[in-house]
Amino acid sequence: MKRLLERALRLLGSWRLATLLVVAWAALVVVWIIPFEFYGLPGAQLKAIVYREFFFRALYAALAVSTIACMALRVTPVLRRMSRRPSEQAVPKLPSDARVAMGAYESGRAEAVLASMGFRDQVRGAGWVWGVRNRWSPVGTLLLHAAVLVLMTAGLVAVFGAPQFSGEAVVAPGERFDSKADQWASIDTTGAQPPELAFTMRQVNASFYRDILLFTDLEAVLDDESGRPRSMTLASPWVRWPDGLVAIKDFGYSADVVVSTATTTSPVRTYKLKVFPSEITDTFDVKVGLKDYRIYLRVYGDYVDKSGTPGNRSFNLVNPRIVAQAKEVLSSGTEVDRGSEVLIAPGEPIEVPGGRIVIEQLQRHAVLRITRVPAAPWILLAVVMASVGAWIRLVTPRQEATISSTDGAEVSLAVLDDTYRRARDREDELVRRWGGQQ
Amino acid sequence: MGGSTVTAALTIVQEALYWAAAIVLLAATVAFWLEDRVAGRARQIMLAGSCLLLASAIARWIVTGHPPIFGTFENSIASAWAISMVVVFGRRLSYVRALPADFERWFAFWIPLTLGFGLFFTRTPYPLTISERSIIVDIHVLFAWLAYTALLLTSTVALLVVTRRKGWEGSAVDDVLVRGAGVGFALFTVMLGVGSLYSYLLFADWFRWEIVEAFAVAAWLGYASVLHAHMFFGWRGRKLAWVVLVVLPLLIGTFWVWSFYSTTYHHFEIPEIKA
Repeated sequence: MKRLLERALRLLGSWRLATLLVVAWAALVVVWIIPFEFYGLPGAQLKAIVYREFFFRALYAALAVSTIACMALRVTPVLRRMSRRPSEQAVPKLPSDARVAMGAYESGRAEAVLASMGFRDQVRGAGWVWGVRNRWSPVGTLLLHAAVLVLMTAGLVAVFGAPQFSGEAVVAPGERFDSKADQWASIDTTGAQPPELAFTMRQVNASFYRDILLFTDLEAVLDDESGRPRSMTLASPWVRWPDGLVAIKDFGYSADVVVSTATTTSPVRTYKLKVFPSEITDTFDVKVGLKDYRIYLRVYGDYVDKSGTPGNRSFNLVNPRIVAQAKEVLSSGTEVDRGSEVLIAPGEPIEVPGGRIVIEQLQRHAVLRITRVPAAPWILLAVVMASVGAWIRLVTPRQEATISSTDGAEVSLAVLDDTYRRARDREDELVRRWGGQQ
Repeated sequence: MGGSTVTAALTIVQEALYWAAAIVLLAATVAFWLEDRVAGRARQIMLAGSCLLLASAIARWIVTGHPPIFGTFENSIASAWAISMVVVFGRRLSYVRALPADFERWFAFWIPLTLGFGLFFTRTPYPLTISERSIIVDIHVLFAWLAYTALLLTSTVALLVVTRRKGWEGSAVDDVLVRGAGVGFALFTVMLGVGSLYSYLLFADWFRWEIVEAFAVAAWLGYASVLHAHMFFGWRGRKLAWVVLVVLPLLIGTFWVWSFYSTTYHHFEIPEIKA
């Protein structure tokens, strides 16, 4: 039974299987995912294929098993390799084509030459010196492969762990948001409870390059539960929880609207409008006298695009003007035009039969995305492990150098690299520092 | 003189430097093919071209307020400059030193190709769009071009190995193939990691299966296969070179497909807008 298990472990942890699986994964992405990308399949569907399709899941499972088996088989040899040092009694074995350099062997000189090249951790024997640099580099292999397992753990957390939460809140300056008060603009969740969160929005800033649709700045400042100011930009969200973010993702206009007739003036009412990008049309409903009106609004840009269409590719943030049209909403629900489109600035009226509607002020509000991703810390860990692991294993590999006396006025030199086998360039350098090659 | 006048003047200077650099770099690429007396000077000519291209990039940086990382034209400058640096100083890397003498002659070809490709796209200097305004993006792009240059070098060596050019065989060439793939893979991994972190901060999503990232995953796995083939099965020489070349289209796809494919969020071509 034990022998059978060992054979199974050897099979599952074989280099052949590991390489086959890596190639299969690459091939699946190339022949399946990339063509669908060109075909224009939406991201959500691609995600479903990559994470839920049988072939991919089977591959991930096989990769997990193979990686675990590979690591189980090789952790001990790798750890041994890190602490490998020659015995002082035995001359380290040199490759048959080791370099030969002129100059009689001197222990002190050999030690100094090796140390000057970074081989400071040395073992001295009779007629030879051995040195090692980047001694711990093999641990990079373990880190890199463990990162794959951590990533798969993240996948399991995503599938079987606490559900992910994603919600949006639209908050204007001066307004307080409290997640308990059900102020969410939208929630996209698979059953996760909204996180507890309360804050007061202080300010929202946005800017465009020359008013064309090249967004250059979007920032919000809010006061958190303890009154501490939190500043965030699109690229730098507030990391509110280890697995969650509060991020500003968009902005809009909050319109302060006053409706007046010949005899009455309504109090100011604020409508939050989706107005960016500028071709977007949003609406708000008001009552003028006894009639219901729906006001259609879009921001008018000051530039024209290549096709000559006005306003579609620009957004006047500094001095906003609005293209507005009023439609009366009949009791049947039918909308009837009550005037043509008008271009107005804040303070200018939209005239309708029996009264006028004035947008007194346009204030910028923030659209915030609030997320809790339980797998996030796992993924971050995997990313760090993979990056550090690949770097120390492949950029700074463990190297062992030996200078050994031969007969007479010569020495043998060799530098063996743990990753790239033979470091001939380092050998060249060693020969140069020793003082010449024969 | 107003700020806009200075900007306009700098834009003209930047264009002039760019064209001067392009001409000098092209001349250097040709010089590598001429008789020995001229070829001996090719590296110096290339260095002059690199300096001009760097000056052009700095002038553009002042105009736009960001390093040349926005849009295909700017990235072609960054990429061509990185390649020219390898042509000029590559032999200072100990393992590149042992390559046959005609290495620069072939590798330099990528410079006019890259600059020429960039000219198909708008050269208007724009400030960075909001989603790119982060030090994390700068680090991501830095590692991207380092990885690209290392892996392009490896691919060029592979191309010369499989075409059986004289001198392109043996352990020194194998060393470059393997180390180039190894170092390139490490740089590529860091690039992916940094990009993934930024994707989370920006979209609360660690990875998006869009065209650039799909290419990147495939290329990453491709280079992982190259390393496995060498480390575990001892592949070297032409056999290994062929594997490197199989991955080359994925590398090119990762770094340039966004120039054409507008639905990826890596696409940064700003259409010209008339006032």
